[in-house]
Amino acid sequence: MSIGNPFDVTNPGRERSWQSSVVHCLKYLDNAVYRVVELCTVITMGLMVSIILAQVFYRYVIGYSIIWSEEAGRHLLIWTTFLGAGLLAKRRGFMSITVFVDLLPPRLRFLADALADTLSTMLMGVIAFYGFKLVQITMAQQAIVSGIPMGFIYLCMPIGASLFVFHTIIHYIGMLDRGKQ
Amino acid sequence: MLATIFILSFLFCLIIGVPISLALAIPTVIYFYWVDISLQMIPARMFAGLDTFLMLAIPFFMFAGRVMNDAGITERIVAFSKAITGATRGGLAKVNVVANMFMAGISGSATADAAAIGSILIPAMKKDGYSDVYSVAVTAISSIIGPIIPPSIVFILYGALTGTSVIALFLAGIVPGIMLGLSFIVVIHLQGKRLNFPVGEPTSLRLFGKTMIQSAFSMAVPLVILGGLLGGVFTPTESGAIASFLAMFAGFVLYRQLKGRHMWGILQSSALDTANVMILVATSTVFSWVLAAENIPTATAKLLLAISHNPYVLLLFINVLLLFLGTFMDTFPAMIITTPVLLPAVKQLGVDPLHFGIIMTINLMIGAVTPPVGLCIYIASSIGKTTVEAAAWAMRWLFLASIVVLLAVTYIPWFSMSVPRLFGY
Repeated sequence: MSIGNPFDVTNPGRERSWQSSVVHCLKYLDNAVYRVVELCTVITMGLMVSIILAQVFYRYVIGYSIIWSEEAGRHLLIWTTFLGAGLLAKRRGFMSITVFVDLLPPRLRFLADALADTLSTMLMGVIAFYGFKLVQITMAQQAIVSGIPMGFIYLCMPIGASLFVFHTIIHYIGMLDRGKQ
Repeated sequence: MLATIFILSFLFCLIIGVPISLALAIPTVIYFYWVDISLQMIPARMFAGLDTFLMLAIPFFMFAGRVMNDAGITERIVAFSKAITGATRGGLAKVNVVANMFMAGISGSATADAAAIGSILIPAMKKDGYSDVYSVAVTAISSIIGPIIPPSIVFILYGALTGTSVIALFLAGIVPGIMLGLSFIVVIHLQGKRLNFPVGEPTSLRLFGKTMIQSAFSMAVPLVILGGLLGGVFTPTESGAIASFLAMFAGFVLYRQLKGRHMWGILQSSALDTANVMILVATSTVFSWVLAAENIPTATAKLLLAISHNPYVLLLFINVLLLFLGTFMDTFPAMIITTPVLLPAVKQLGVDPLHFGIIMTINLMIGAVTPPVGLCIYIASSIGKTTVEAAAWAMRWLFLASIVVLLAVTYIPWFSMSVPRLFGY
């Protein structure tokens, strides 16, 4: 997964064409974004478990109910889900039916994959665009308990969907680059 | 016309390999565009589908399952199971089944169980003289007990989809889960005589007592969860958090096998598992909204009832359909897609949604061990380094036993309904 620093000019490797350097930079960016988002999902997941545990603990041991915990748990779940979708795009880890495309010869298989990814990317584009519109509208609403503008909760949708588009496009750029060499 | 385009574009996306969660949303874009509803409805509905407290239980049980794999719980459960059935002919194979039944009471996921128990028992079974393929076969098929004996992620999902009480589903799964386990043990015992399986290490009362005390904490987890749920002490969601806590407590404090450095991997992989299922839940909310708007569930109900008005015939038909679907689709997507379509027809015939949930879960779990797409058998055969086909062939008699249990649970509602009725559901 890790590829070296693209700005390292002392790299003694062979000369690269400028296209291939661009691809190299993109891949570096791809990995960097992935790492950051991965850290975010680990945090949201950890918070989710801790907050609901605290809810039970406070209610039965301390005898005081936290009012915001349920809402926070729900919203963290939504953030984990959409950020995780971005990660899954890079890992190509979504559940899908591959028994039919597996039967195809390699060239047709590539075409089917490319078509499937084009459709998925277009959908995620739609979700990113309209999700962002939704964010703008819901900035005026507030979450019932915490009072956080709902737009910040909805924000995970355009972010997650954009991550999906980003990682998928870079995946294909990387494939084209490899095809040329 | 529009409904036909909707369904066909969905099937097209599935066949060319679009991720199932996205294949559910792509036709809805076409639909919303066509009937001129703002596309903003798609993210709005996806959000609403996730924004329920019950759904939170799913990541918690996924997290708990991952923790258990690193916490040293599995080793202790296997040791106790060895003390129970290890000394008979085909001992280790039976241990595999028994260990899965105990693990089922803590984790809610078949794949977590297959990975945890398989990595211990497949090498042990091979060393004891079982063939590679048979070790893999037993591991794969016994892991399907995981989501049927409570707690269970699949039941939580079914409960969230249909509004059925999760506690009632948990209770209803107890008897069928035990039936599956016992039927596997019987098959192994009968095969053991014919195929001359090795006899395991002898056991003693002392060993039995010692391993029982060592695994007592893990055994208590399902009792705490079920007791807390029945007593109204906590909700299903909170029970997931409690299960996570108990697993971490066992790993960090009791067995001291879990270290802080494990937590990153556990959190990361459970977040990814969560995202994979939850995206599916989100997009299916939009999908089933369109299905309902186009009256597709009612139309399907009519179609199914046209085949037969006899509940026995129709349930058989649905079982065959779901088994077929389960061979090439994972459990969660298969359940999410078929439940809203099948349930109205089944309800009209007077089948209780609770009973149907159990039938569906057993059926789709059997689908999880049948190639070409069966997560459990893939995991087991990658641990045992065999081909999936050979392992599936070695599994045939055990598979047949699971089908017999499925039919028994389908046609004799008592097996699933008696325990929930006892508690007033």
